[in-house]
Amino acid sequence: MDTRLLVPDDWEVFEHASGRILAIAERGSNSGLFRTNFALTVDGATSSDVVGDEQRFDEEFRAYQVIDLEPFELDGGHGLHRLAQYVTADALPLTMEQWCIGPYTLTATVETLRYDDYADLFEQVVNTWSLEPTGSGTDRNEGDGD
Amino acid sequence: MAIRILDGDVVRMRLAEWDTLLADPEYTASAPDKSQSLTKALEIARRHSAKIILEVAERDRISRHHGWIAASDTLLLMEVDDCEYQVIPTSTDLVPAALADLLEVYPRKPSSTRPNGESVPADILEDLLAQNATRRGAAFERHRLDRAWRLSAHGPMRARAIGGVLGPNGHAMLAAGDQSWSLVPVSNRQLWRTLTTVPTKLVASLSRPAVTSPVSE
Repeated sequence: MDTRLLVPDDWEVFEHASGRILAIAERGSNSGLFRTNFALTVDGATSSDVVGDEQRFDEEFRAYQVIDLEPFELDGGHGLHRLAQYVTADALPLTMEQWCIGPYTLTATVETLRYDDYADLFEQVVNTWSLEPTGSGTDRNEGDGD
Repeated sequence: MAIRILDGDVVRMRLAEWDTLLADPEYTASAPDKSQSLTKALEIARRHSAKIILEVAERDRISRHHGWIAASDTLLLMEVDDCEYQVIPTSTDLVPAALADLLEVYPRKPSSTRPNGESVPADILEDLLAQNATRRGAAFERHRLDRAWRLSAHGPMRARAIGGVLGPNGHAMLAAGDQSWSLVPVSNRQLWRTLTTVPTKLVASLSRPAVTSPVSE
């Protein structure tokens, strides 16, 4: 199963050497501290151990705070939507929004105080996401870059 | 004056004591029970750009938490026990997390469904947040709610408030319509969006003259 999603055409795309992680980051940053980004990872099957995942996040991330966990559906498949906040080692609060389905996890991360400015964009990108039997890739958005 | 400085420089006091300290510009220099937290707290409060008050009520109790928001740091006075407040100097960008904590914005499974935009009396929060326990309890009973809250923010040009409730079907926020008020169910995502704007957009709006407000002025 492959996957496809549209991302803003002026964001930078980086592919990890493993081929299992694709990162899409905003160019530059208003604050200079953190670049809002998406990360699409392929990591086997989506975990069904939500409680275990939450415990792992709680141990991995400083001041981890889960805001929401709810079912997520894509192309007839069932997955999970997670919204959470944590604090980086540099004491920067980040909001992490994550959609997990099949072998894929799409994670959007932004400085918490800028979340409201990006929440619609995150939703727009997720709404372009599809799982396809053939072909793959990340398309550039033909529309606006926001 | 009963200022308690606990292990880890945790400072607790009553609100009246805090007001006295804040009104005394000499306190920071002369305090015999000086604590770094308290010194920092006073420094933030004296240069704040907006003051917020979060009232959170349940049927049998009500708490009022106070915040003085400056550009990069914020002082929170969190009511912890029987009108005693804990002094918490923190980073302004951590304010949404503190608010989410106090409002219990975490995953929960709705146990019932309420129609969208349920009409409610304009003074519903006055009843739900009443100091009088009988009046408050009756309001919680009447509306079948678990919790109610109001966040009021006061700035140099005006004040604004937002409010909401937590009930069997999750969170809802109070919204003003053309003719009436309603409780509009909101997802945790929507509520988190709102909370993340408190130290930024909401506070910035307090420095501008009032025009119209979706909730209240």
